[in-house]
Amino acid sequence: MLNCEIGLDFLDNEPALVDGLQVGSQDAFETLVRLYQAPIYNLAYRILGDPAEASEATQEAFVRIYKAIGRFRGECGLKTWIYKIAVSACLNRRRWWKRWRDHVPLSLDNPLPSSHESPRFLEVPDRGENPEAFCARRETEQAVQRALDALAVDFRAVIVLRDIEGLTYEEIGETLGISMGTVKSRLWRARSRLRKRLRALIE
Amino acid sequence: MTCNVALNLIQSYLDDGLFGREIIDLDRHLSDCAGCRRALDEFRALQQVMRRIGRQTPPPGLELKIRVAASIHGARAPLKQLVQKVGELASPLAVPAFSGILLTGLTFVVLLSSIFSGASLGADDRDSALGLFTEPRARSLTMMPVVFGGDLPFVTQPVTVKTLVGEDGRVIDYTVLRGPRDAQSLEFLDRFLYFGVNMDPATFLGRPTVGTVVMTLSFYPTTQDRIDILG
Repeated sequence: MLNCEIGLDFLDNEPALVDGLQVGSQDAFETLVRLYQAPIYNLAYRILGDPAEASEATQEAFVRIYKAIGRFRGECGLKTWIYKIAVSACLNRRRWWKRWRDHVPLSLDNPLPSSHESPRFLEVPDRGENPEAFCARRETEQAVQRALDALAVDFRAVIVLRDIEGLTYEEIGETLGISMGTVKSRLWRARSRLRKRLRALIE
Repeated sequence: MTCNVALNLIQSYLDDGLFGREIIDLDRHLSDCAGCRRALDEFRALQQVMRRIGRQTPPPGLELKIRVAASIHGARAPLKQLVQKVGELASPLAVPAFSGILLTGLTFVVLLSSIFSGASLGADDRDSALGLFTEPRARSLTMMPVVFGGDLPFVTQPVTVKTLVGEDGRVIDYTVLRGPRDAQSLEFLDRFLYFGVNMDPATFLGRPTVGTVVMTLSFYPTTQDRIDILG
């Protein structure tokens, strides 16, 4: 994405972006969407493990951000605040999805909802890599996602925020509303479990 | 340093959170402990795998969906903002308004309880409710000598009269419905009704008005101070 497409005035100027959002600027909101839709979608995908659910959670997160931006007082960073809302949207979505999935009978006539395990359509983005490399990366990704899915959601959120999104311990603590000690403890346990599950990949 | 302590430090080491002496101690332990060294290598590899899988690309059209969802909310927002604004304006009045309503309620409770409990508020028994029509009532009947003068004989039979009573309580006119109608009796009744009878006038909406009343009079000449009225 070129910088000229996403509101140069707001790039590297978080206070201006926040001001723009708070006065209802469409440019500011578009900039926010373009800056954060990929990380939020990715976070949602890693937590929920389903692309359709991740899309819904991302939409929900942005609507919540749009509604709540007037109350943002800058007590924490904008990024942390956005992640906090995104994680909350994901957890809500996950609860809803679990209930829905438990109550909807499976039908042989209707296809299964798409997921990483049973994709109806496999979209292959062009990354300029050869088919073997793509398949290897795809297998690794699926194995990691399966291992993430096997973790409790608290551990999953911590490790995704740290090792994929690159948040600091403090930012993770603020995002999830937990102490630094709890962040470290959850991270350690999540990594230990992933290490066991992904031993074939990392040895 | 024990392996447990080393494993705890490895995490901070991976996240660049170890400084000074701790790094030296951990390095020393790792150089001597193959198990911890292997653990560190595996954790490092895990980190690399996690970073390598990278971010999932959002599906095309997601950005548009987000904008549409936000604009739908934005279209509803003015009404919500208006409601919120009214709420904010009304909130300082909430306590006084609530107190007013409470006091009004209490007043009505006290008032209604006194009405329905039959407690007297000092009203006269003769008071009548406003809005009702009341008929004239006899207040005093006088058989003074000036009325009779001693020259007329008493009406000895009971006589029924229909009287028209004015706003001042005086009889304006009358009709004998039953009883003697001779001249002497009528003159006796004239004197008695026009000069000896004082009545409470009829009322309508609490104000005196002209009314009629039917009375049966019986005079007893022996006692000369007794008049029976029926009606």
